[in-house]
Amino acid sequence: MNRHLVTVLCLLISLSIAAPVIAAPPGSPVALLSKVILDVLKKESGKNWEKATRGQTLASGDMVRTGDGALAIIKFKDNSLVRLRERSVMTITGTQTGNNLSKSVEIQTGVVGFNVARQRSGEEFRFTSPTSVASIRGTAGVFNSSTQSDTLTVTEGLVQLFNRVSSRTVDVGAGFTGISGKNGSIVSRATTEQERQAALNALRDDARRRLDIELRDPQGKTNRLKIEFND
Amino acid sequence: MTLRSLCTAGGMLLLPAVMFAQLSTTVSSTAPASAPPRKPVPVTVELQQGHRISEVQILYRPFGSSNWRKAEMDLRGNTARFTVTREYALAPFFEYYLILTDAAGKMTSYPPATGDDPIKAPPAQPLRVSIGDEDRDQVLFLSPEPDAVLDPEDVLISISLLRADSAVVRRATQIKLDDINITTGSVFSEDLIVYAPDNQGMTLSPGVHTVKVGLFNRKGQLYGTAELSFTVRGQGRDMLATPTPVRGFDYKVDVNVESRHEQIRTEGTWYNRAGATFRGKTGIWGFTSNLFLTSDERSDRQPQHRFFAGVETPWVQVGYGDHYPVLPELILSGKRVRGLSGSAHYGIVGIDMTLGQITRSVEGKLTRTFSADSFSVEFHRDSTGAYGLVSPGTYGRFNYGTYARDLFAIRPSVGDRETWEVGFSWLSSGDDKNSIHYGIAPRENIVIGTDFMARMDNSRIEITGQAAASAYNMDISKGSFTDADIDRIYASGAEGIKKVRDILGPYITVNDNFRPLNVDKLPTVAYELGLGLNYFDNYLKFTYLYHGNDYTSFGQSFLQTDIKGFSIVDRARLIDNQVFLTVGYERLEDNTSATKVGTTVFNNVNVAATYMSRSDLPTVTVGVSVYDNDNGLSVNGRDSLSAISDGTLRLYMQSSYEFMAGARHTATLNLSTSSRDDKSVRAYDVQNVTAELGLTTLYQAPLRTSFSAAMFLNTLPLSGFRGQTQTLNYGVLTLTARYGFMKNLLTVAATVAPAFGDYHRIAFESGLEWAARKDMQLLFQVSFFKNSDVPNESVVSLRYRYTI
Repeated sequence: MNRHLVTVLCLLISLSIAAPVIAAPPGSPVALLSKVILDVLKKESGKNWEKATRGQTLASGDMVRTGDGALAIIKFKDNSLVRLRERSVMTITGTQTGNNLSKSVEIQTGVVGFNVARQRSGEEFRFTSPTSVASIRGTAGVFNSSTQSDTLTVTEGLVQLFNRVSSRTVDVGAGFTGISGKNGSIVSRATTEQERQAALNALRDDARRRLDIELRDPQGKTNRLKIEFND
Repeated sequence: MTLRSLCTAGGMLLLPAVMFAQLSTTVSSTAPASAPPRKPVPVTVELQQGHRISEVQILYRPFGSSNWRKAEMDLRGNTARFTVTREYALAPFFEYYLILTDAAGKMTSYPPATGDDPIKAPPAQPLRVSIGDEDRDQVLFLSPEPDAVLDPEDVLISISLLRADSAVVRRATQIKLDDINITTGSVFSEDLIVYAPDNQGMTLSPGVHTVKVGLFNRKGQLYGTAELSFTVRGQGRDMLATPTPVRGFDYKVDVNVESRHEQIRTEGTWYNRAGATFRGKTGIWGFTSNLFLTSDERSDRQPQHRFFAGVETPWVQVGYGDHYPVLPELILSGKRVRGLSGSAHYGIVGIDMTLGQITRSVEGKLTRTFSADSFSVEFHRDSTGAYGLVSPGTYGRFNYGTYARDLFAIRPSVGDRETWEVGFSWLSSGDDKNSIHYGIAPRENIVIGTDFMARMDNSRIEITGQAAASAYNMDISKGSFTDADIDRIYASGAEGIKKVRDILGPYITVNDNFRPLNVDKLPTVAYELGLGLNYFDNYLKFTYLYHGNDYTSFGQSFLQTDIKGFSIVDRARLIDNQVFLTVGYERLEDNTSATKVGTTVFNNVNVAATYMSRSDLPTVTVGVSVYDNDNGLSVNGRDSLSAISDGTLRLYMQSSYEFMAGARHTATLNLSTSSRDDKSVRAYDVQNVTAELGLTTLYQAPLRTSFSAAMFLNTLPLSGFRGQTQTLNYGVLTLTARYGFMKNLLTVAATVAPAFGDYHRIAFESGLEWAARKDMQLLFQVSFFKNSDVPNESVVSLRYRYTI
C-alpha cells in the first residue's frame, strides 16, 4: 500500500498550475445596457451626456442617469444585474483579471436594485456611495443613496455594509435593512413591509408608462384619455 | 410551470430512463445521470410493485471515499426521492446504490449485490451521477434569460466571453439564431457580443427560438459550443407560455391523480393515488402544503400517506406534517419526521427545531392460538415470540410489533451562514412503551453536539467540523435503576452510578442497558473535520473522521460506526481547463474500541482523469480504483476464520460525443470492470465486466429516438460452495422513439428492450401524453414484460395532472 501512497503524493506534488493573470486594457467594456425605458442617459469619461440605447456597452468609468419614470437594466460581463430606477445616477467600474471581473457601482443618488451572481474566488461586487460601501457576494436587494444616508435592503443572501465615516461594518442578511448615515451611524434592522415592497418594486423590470390618447366625438369636441400601465 | 416544462416532465414520465443496464423487477428507472457541481442533487427512483416495498435506503459516497453514507428515501407510491447534499456533488462523480426492504424485512439492493447482506457487500458496479465542472460555462448569455418569454421588440441577444479560455479567438465566434448565421450583424466589443434583431430588420415570429454560439481557436477549430432558447409571445399555443399574471395572492397548485394496475408474476394489484401541492405568497407571508394519499396505506405498516402544511416569513418558518430535517449530519439527517418543524433566523442568530414521530406504532400480529394448558409447551418450542391471553382459556402467539418512536431535536446557531457559523445541537428520542401491547426492548437515545464552519479568502479556504456524543439505552422496559438496584448490582462505585443516574435521569432511562459503559476510548463519540483549499487551479480537500463503535443517533441510524481515519482528494484543472485530474487517497480503520480480534485497515486509492474537448472531440473519463482491506490476521493460521484480506480493482471509462449528421446525435460509451480477490478462507471472489453503447438522436421534426446495447459478464461465488463460482452473462438492447403531434400537444412514445443470454426477457412500453389544456395533462402508459421463466407481467397506468 505504501507504493500507492508514494504514487499519490507524487501526483499531488506535480499538480500546480498557476492561473494566468490578464489585466483588461483601459476602456474595455465591462457591461451593457440590456434594457432601456424612457429617458436614460449615458456619459463616457471626458464626454458629454448622450441618450443611451439598448445594447450599448459600458466601459469602466462610464456613468448612467435615469429620468422620471425611467429604468435602465445593466448587465455586467459575469451576468450580474443592476436595475437603475428613476431619477438615479451611477458610475460603473470594472477590473478584469484573467477570467475574473471585479465590479464596483458608485451611486451618486437614487435607487438601485441588484441581482448578483455568486462571485467566484478572487471576484467581488461593491456598491459605493460617499457614505458607504456594500460588499455583495451572490445576493439580491436594493441600494438607495440619498444626501443624508444610504439604505440597503437585502432580499436574498448576505451583504457586508461599511460606513466610510466611522469605519464600522454590519452584516445585512435577507429580510434586513442596513442604514448607513453621513454622521457615521450604521445599523441593521428588520425590513419593514414598506421597504420590502419598495425593494420588490425596484427589482422588477417594468416601469410605469403613460399613454395619451386624444378622443374626438362626432361634434368635433375633444377629450384626452391618459392611461398609465406597466410594461 | 409552463406547458413546455410540463411536457418535459410528462415526457420523462412516459419515457423513464429504463435501466436495463441492471435488470430489476422492482426498480424501473433512476435519475439523474449527471448534475451540476456543489448543488443539491435530487435523486429519483421509479419503482414497480411499490406496495411491496416498505422502505428504500440510498447509500452514497463521493469520489475518493469508500465510506457509504446512508439515508432513507421519501417513498410516495412508486416514487422514492432523496436530495444528496451539495457537499457530495463533487466532480468527477458520486456513486450510489439502493437497498429496498419489503414488508417482511427482506433487503435487496439495486444494482444487485452478490452477497446476502447488501450493506456489507455492496454491488460491484454501483450507480454513478456525473458531476460537471463549475468552470465549464465559457459562454455567458447576458440576455435573454434562458426560457424567457418576450415581446418581439424586447429581444436583445447579448453574450459575454468573460469566462472563455485564452485559446478562444473572440472575433472568430459564430452566432446562429434559429440556424441562421447572424454573426455579421452582431457587434463585437472585445468580450461582449450584441445582436439586436430589430436593428437588422429582423422580426422574430412567435414561438421558440434558439441561439447557438460556436467558439473557435487560433487554428480555426471548433473549441466549444453553447445554446439558449427563448420564446417570443404570439398567438395560439405560444400563448400557453405566457407567464402567470401577477396576483395579490400569488399561488400555485399542482394536482396529480394516478390509477395503476400491476400484474407481477401471478399477483395483480390496483393502486389509486392522489397528490396535491400548494404554494402561496402574499406580502411577506408564504404558505406551502402537500398531500399524498395512496391505497397502499395500511395500519400494519409504516405510514404511506404524506402531508405537510407550513407558513413562512423571511425570518420564521413553521410547519406540521412529514418532513426531512437536516441538522449536522452526525446527528439528524435523512429521517422522516411526522410532526412540528420550525426555524427562525434573525441577523446572525438562528434556531432550528423538529418535534415529532419517526416510527408509528404497529401492534404485534396474532400468529397462533392454543389452549392455556399448552402454554408451557408452546413457549419452550418458540421462546422468541410474544404470548398473551386472547380469551379466557386461550393464549396466542404474536409477532413483536413496533413501538411508536418520538424525536425532538434543536440547534441554536450563530453566524452569517456565508462565511462563518457555529451551532449546538441536542437530540432526544425514545420509544413509547405503552404504544403497543406486544413489543420487545423499547429504546431511548440522547445526543449532544456542536458544529462550525469558516470560510476565508473569498471562500478559497474552508474549514468545517462537527462533533457529537451520544448515550442510549437498549431496553427501557424496566425503567431506571432504583438505589436498591444499584447497591445490589454494583459492589463498588455505586455512589458514582447514582450520581450519573440523577444527572441523566431527566433525559434518559439509566439502567444496566445504558451505554456508554465507559468513556476511556470514546465509544459513543463521533466527529469529523474538513479542510478545503482552492488555489492554483487545484481544489484540495482533507477530511478526518472518527465514529465510535457505540455512537448512536436515532436521527441518523444510517451512519457507519466503528471507523476512523482520513481522506485526501485533489482535483486539478490542466491544459486550459481541458483535462481534469482527480486523485484521492483514503486510509480508514475499524476496531476503535479494541473490541475485535484484529483491526482492519482500509486503504483506498482513486484516480480519474476527464478530457473535455474544446474542439469537435468526445468527452472522455477514465479512472482506476484500488481498494485494499486487511486486518493483519493470517489467512492460514488459527484465526483464519476472522482474517480479512481482500482487494478490489476497478477500471472504468465513460465517453460521450455530440455531433450533427442530418440530425443532432449524442453517443455514449461506458466500459467498466471490477475484480475482487478475496484471499481469506471465504474466497469470495467476484468479477464483473460491463459495456454499454448508446445513441440518442433529436431530429428536426418533433422526433427523438434512442438506441442502446449493453452487455454484462459476471463471475460470482457459488452459494454454499466455498471457492467455486458461477457465471451470469446477459445482454440488453433498447430501442425508444418519441414523436409529438399537433405541435407537441399529443406525444406518442414506444420502447422495446429484449434481454438475452442467461437472462431472457422482452420489455415493451408505450405511452400517450396529451396536453389537453395548458393547465391539464393526461398520461397513459402500458408496459408489458414477456418473460421466459416466469409468467408475463404488465403495468397499466393512467395519470391526470392539473396545474393552476
